[in-house]
Amino acid sequence: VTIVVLGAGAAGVAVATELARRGLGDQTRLIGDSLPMDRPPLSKDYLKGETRRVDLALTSSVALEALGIEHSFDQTAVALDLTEKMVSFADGARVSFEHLVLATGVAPRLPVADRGDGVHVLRTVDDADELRRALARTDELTIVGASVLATEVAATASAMGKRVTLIAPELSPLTTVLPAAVRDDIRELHESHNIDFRLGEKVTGLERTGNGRLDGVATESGRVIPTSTVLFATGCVPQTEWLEGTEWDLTNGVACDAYGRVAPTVWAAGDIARWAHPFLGRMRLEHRTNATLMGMAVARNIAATLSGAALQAYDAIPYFWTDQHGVRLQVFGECLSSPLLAKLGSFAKGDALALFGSRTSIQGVVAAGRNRDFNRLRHAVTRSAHGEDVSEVVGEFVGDYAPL
Amino acid sequence: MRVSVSIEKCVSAGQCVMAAFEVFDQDDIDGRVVLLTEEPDESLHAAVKDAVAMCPAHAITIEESS
Repeated sequence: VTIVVLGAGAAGVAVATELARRGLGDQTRLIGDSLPMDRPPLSKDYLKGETRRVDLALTSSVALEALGIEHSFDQTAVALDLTEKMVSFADGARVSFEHLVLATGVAPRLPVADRGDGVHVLRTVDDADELRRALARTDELTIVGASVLATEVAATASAMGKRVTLIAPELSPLTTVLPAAVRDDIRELHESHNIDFRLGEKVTGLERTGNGRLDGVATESGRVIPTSTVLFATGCVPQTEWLEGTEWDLTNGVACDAYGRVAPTVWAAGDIARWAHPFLGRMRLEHRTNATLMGMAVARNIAATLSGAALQAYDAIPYFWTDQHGVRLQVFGECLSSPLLAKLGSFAKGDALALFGSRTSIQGVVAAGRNRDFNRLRHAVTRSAHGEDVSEVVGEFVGDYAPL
Repeated sequence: MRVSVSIEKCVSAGQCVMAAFEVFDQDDIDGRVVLLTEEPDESLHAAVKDAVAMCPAHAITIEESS
C-alpha cells in the first residue's frame, strides 16, 4: 500500500504523522511544494521578528525519517490520473498511489492584477520575510481587507510603530467571522490603537509614480489613499485548478463526505476540504486547529478502511483564536447565525465572554481571557450539539431576562 | 513516559485538555497550559500522544522511558 499525502502544511503533516502512529509510516509518502512551516505566527511574532524561522517548522526530515515516512518538499502536483492511480508533478515525476490525500491548501486572492513593487500578500514564510523587509523601510502600511489576517497584521504593524490604514468594502472589521456584539468592541480596540479604518470602500487599482514605485491605492469612491506598501488580506482560494479534469465538486474547495472522503481512495483535509459535517452542515474552514484535527481524522479513516474497521465522521466544532493588540480572542461554535444570549465584560479590555444560542442549547461562545469559563462553555456547546440540555450551565451566565 | 510543556510556545487553544484532561489543565485567566502530572499513568499514554499531535503550537514534548 502507498498512501500519498499531497501538501506539507499542518493538515498534510498531521495525516502523515497520524498514519505513522497507526503503523503505516513506511507506507506513507508526504509530498509538498515547500518546507512544512506553521502559519499563525506569520502575522504576529514572526512579523515582529520575535520568532525565528526555525521555530516555525511543523516537523523535520529527521523526525519524518524516524517515522519511516518518505518525503519531499519541492514538488508541485500538476495532474491526476484516477484510472492509473497516478499523480504527475511539475518536475516530470510520476507517483502511483493506493490512497491519495489532498491537503494542498489555499492561496491568496488579489482584487487587482498588479503584483509589482510595494504589493504584498501573507501566506508563506517568504511572504512574511518580504513584508518584514518592506516594513523596515516605511513608517506606514495600508491593508486591504477586514479579515482575521488583515486585523492581526494591523495590530502587529501598529505595535511596530507603523501608521496603519485598513480599507475594506465591509462596514465593520471581521464581519464574516465575529458577531456584531464582539466586533464592535474589537473595532473600538483597533481605533484606540489609531488604526485608520476606511470601511465601505472598495479598492479598484493602484497608483504608481513615473518610475513604477507604489504611490497610492485608488478606491471606488474616487479617493486615492497615499501609501508605499500595501498588504492584500482579501481571502484565499482553494488550490484545486489541477483537479478540474475530475468529476468532483470543486466549488469552494474539494467536496468530501463526513469521513473526509472525496472518492473511495481519495481524501481531503484542511483548508482545501469542504466536508459534510455530521450536524453542522457542509463547511470549509481555514482554521489552524481544523487542519490538524481533520488531518488526524482522515488518517484514522484511511487506517480503518485498510483494516476493514468502521469509519468515524469528522465532527469537530469549529474553533479559532486570534490576537488583536494583545487581546487573545477565542471563538468556538456557531456565533454568527445564533442570537446573542449574554455578553459579560469588554472584549476591548481583553476580559469578556459572549454566549450565543438559547438557554437550553448553546451554539457558540467567544472569550477574551476568562479561560476557565470559556472551557466550561465550550464543553456545553459540544454537549448541545449532541442534543443535551445545558440550561444548568448556561443559567450561571445568563440573567433572568435573556431570550428563551 | 515523561511529559514536558513550553509555556512560551503555548497558544492557549486548549486542545491538550480536550485530549487528556487528566494530564493537562489551563490557567484560569490566560489559558496557558498547566501540566498536572509529568509522569502520567500508562492508561493515559495514548491520550497524551493525541495531545502532542493536536497541539497547534508544538508546546508538548514526551520522552518515552525504555
